Amino acid sequence: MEQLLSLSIFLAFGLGFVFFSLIVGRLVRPSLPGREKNSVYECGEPTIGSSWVQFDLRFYIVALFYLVFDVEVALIYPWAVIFRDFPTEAVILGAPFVGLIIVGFAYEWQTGSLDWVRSAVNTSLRATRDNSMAHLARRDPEILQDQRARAGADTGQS
Amino acid sequence: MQDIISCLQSIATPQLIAHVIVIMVIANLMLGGCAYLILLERKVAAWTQDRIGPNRVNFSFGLVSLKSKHFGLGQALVDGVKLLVKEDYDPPQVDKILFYLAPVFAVGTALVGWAIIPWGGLMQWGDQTLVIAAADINIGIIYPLAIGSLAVYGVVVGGYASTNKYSFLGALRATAQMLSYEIPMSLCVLIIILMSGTPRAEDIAVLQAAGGLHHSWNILFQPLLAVIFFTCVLAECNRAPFDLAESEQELVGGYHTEYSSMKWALFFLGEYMHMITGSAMFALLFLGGWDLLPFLGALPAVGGIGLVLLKFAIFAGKVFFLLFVMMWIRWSLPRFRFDQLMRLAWRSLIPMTLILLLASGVIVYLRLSPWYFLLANIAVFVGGLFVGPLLPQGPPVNRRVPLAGSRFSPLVEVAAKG
Repeated sequence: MEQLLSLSIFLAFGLGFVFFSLIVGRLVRPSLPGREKNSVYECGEPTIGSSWVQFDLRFYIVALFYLVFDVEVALIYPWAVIFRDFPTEAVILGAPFVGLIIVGFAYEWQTGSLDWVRSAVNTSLRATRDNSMAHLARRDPEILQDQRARAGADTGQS
Repeated sequence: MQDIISCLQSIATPQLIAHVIVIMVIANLMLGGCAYLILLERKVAAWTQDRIGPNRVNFSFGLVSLKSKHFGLGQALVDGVKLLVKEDYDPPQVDKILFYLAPVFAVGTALVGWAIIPWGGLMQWGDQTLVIAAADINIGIIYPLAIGSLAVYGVVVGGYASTNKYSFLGALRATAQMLSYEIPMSLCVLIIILMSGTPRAEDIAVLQAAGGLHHSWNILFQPLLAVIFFTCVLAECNRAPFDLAESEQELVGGYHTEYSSMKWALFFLGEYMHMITGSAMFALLFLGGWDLLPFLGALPAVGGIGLVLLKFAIFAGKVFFLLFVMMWIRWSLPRFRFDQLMRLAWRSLIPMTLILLLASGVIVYLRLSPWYFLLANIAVFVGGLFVGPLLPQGPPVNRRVPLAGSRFSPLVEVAAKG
């Protein structure tokens, strides 16, 4: 009761401060909107398209990993509190959880989900480690055919 | 009438009054302190770059003429007034409700995050012991983590509602960054709970302040963990070298590009409050809270008003030192690249904290001396140096990526030969 009461007083104080500071300035500050001032701030360039575009899927995957990890960690907190008092039971009950985190993490690492830069190899910027055509052809045989066709077209023209 | 008075008396216990006093004193201290932290930040930047920094504005404010410049201390107040009277326009394309809600989220969560920090330890009041903190919640140090996770909403909502591509990208980056560093941070807190056996903030401080060889500051037992925690605090505050959310060269201002005047100031205030909360958490978990010196047990756990004030001064001194270190780091280190940032979190901090969690569990299970924690920390650090390069690396990111068929990667000749 006391805990909740002091927390809610605290929360009320915080929200009161925020709204006070937002409202009190309204009385003294000027308001002079203009056409250019109201445009989207993109360095003076006219805006192209909406900004609510589809974002990179990697951000979504990070959020998923976070969710899995943080829920696991949140479940372990009570376990950590009683660990000293009931060590054997805690080990038996907690080992699957901690094991799951570690095995899952090793799996993520192994599958390469933790790499932020992972798509550079297979995009239109086709990169090769030794920059050789044979290596490239191993990845994507069609490139070799494209290149041959293009070379053939070039010689045919000349 | 009698009922109302007795009802009030039952609610307004000395403990609650102590809570309210702490809330009023420290919240106002923090709000004022944030303004002067910004001035200090500018001064530190100036010293780092061999400049003088703001030193002109004194307390005359153009009303009276004063000879002394007061080291430019008037700057913070003048900046506050400026932010209050600046034009605060809402761009017409924004989502109005969310646009107003985002700074409220940002500063509200930062403001209530430090509620459990025991600034003054315990106080003897008659036959009661009062906790000198804003709230004495039994989940203790898990509470700031929960509130800290909510701070992500301020950033996300602000970036989404602005309808600006820079804001949106900055919000995405900030989200990924804050989420990634939340995991090692919560694991650090988990390890501290594991070794202390309690989540209550005051108990953790008392344990570290008990004195003797087996109860000392946690930074001496877990130095690696302390470094990891401090890194995570920096990343959670979006501070340099982790300020990718607002990297000026790429994203203008990041998620607060479209904000102006007081709403922008609230975002800024939220960042500085997060710094204070993060420093206070670090001081509590690793630097013994209000303890004066390790090993000595110089201060008793419970005392009168004088002791409370002394403890508060020590705690505030530690927080101030940590804030200074944060500024020092900001103006000394260059910014990380985003893939480096993610690699640091996912490939070094998280595995290290997971292994430390296992090692700490074993040490607590076997009831060994806490100095084995130090041994485990050194072992994990040295082991990481040797094992790290052997683990799966992922594609190299720093090599030149040749465009097939460009003049740097002449594929046609090779193809003709093959």
